[in-house]
Amino acid sequence: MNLRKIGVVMLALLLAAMAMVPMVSAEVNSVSNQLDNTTALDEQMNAVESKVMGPEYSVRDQPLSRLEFEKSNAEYIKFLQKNFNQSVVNQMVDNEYKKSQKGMNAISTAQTLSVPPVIQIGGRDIYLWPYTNSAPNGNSFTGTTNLIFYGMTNSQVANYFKNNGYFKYHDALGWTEYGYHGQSLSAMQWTSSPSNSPYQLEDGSYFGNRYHLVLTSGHYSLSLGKNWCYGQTHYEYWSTINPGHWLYPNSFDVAKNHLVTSNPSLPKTLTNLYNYWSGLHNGYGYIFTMS
Amino acid sequence: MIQFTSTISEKYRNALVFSSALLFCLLFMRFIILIVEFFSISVQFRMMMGLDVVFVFIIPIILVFMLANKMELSTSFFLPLVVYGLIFPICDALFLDPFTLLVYPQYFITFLIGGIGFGLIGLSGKIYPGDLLKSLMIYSFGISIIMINSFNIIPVLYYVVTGDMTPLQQISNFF
Repeated sequence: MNLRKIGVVMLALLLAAMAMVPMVSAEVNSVSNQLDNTTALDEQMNAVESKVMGPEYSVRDQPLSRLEFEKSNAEYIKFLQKNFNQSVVNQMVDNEYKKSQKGMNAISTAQTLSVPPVIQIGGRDIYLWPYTNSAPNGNSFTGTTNLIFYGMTNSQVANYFKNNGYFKYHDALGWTEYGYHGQSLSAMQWTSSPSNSPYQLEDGSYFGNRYHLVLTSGHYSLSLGKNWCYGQTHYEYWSTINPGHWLYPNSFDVAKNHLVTSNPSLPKTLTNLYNYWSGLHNGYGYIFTMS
Repeated sequence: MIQFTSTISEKYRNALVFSSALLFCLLFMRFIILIVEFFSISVQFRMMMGLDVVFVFIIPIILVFMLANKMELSTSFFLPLVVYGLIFPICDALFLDPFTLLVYPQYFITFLIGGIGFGLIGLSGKIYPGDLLKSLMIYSFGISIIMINSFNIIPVLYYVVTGDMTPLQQISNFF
């Protein structure tokens, strides 16, 4: 074998090794981090307990009328009208409406659930499906709930994070996300979180890194009134080689910790939300007391 | 010593120029994003997507295919593979969150697969003058790998050409 061939083989081996080393070390790190996190979380767990409801209380789909759909996406449609001509906007809204009516979301990264759990938070009259989806159905999900805010509506929470904290959030763009919640198991409803304030905020930029916060407004609760809301936050980046937003590892945990780091004085407790997502979310969320 | 250095630099000059040009082209979209965001310039979304397609796909493919002819056979495959599969992701991560991305294996896998596609295009560019059919086959295989690897590029390309956003809406993580 001549020198050149040996060189080529060595280069191939080097490449393979360079790919393998981070793979193995990252796997080990993620396993050990997960174990550390679980132990730490168990130690930190406060009195706020959540309870999983039985599979008989699974998520029910809710078809929206065209008018309701347009109303819930009004902000985003306004943004589209600024950037595209009316026929393109109409076509886009048409497509998205049809997609939401199909029940199944035809998206590539949506996760399929076998038994979608509805949970009760802290013994209160707050029952929720700890996920969000881009259509009002529970066949799949696009995000896991990791934040609950007591004492403020979603618009108050949005204003708070836009004006307080070490890192200020600002309005973000994104398609509408839907949350499923209710005062009792027989009164569950879908609520939309349209693009822009006071539902979608970001710390970062659309074409770079961003901590994306999606807020869902809460229903009337006997103990909290309308002054509560919940949501999910994730850490993502824009890829130029495969255009779109891609989640960082432990995206939901990193983003919720970012919010905590940014607002250390906010009183908070941890609670199990039973929505573990491998490599992205440890299944625990923070309950912030905002008032 | 000077003669030895100049011989080395002469030998590797082509490869160095090629690598630099390819890397600069691939990273150009990140520079555009930086400039647009820093100066808060309002750029049409379709224009941004068009620039992405041009600088991350069209020009690099042409560049690799054209310049591979001036390299040795193994270099024509391995140089695009190393630049696209290893150096580009490292540099790209510096614009984002390097500490997280550089230890995230899934991040590199996409680039390495794409790098194989670019390597095959380099190979096809090298053997193009001697064996057209073989070159065409390898080129098609390389393009297929790139397209399948960067699957969002097909709806983005369609949107850039026609202005129809329908396929983009099928991508859950796009907006």
